[in-house]
Amino acid sequence: MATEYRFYSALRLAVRLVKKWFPEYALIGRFARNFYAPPETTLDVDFLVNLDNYERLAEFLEYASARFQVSPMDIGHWQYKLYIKSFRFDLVKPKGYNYDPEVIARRRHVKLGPISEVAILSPEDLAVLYLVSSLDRGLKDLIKAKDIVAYSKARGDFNEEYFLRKSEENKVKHLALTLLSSN
Amino acid sequence: MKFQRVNDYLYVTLWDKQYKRPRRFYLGKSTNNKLAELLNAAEQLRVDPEEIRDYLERQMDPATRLTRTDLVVLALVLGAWAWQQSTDSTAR
Repeated sequence: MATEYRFYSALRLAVRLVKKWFPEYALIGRFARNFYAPPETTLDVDFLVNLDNYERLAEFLEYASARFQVSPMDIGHWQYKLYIKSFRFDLVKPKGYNYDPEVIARRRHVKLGPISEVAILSPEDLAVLYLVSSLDRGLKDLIKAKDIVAYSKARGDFNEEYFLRKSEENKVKHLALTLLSSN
Repeated sequence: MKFQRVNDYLYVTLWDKQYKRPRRFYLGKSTNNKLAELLNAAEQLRVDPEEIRDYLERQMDPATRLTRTDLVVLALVLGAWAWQQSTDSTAR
């Protein structure tokens, strides 16, 4: 399919670009969730990166905007949109989420088509991130967290103890405990 | 799950399976408490065992024990295509 080829080509460019400035990146959002649960259609690919380093962000914006459409162009936002070959890639650092070295070390590296590999947030960390965002966005993100927990447990790929510890660090342990109790 | 209202503030007590003891969490002011609604919703969420079986048999790659990458990519390509179609028809 021509669109599929175009997507791989766009993703390869996006990963190369993001990795150059933010080597600690991890894919999150529905695209990442789809690796851990039955896929749902999505419009974009989200990269979790450290947007708090303003110097690096400014350099990235200058470099990326010379090649692709990027918005906004000033620093200090939690989300930046990048368009490559009409696919949308978002760079985000959700408020209230602690993206620490342990989370970075636990990323999954997945081979994806002709792309050598992409880094995805672990199922436990992605579920915690969805719990954090559910505080603002409500039930739909809670359902995504639940899907990740239920299907990852079924795949034998979920460390409950780590999930609870990270939930506590991110102040969403009450939600994590309730999700686990309803399994 | 046990909710408790103390003056104008709401708390919930849950079994903490990490420390194997009950624990009380502060939820904020009791009037119009969205967090309490979210917790109630979380308690009701279920995933159908039949759907889990179907996922493991048909959609999971046994080699990686993750969703088949062709399905992950297809979900994005279809979503982007549908969005493109809808914006094109709106533009017309």
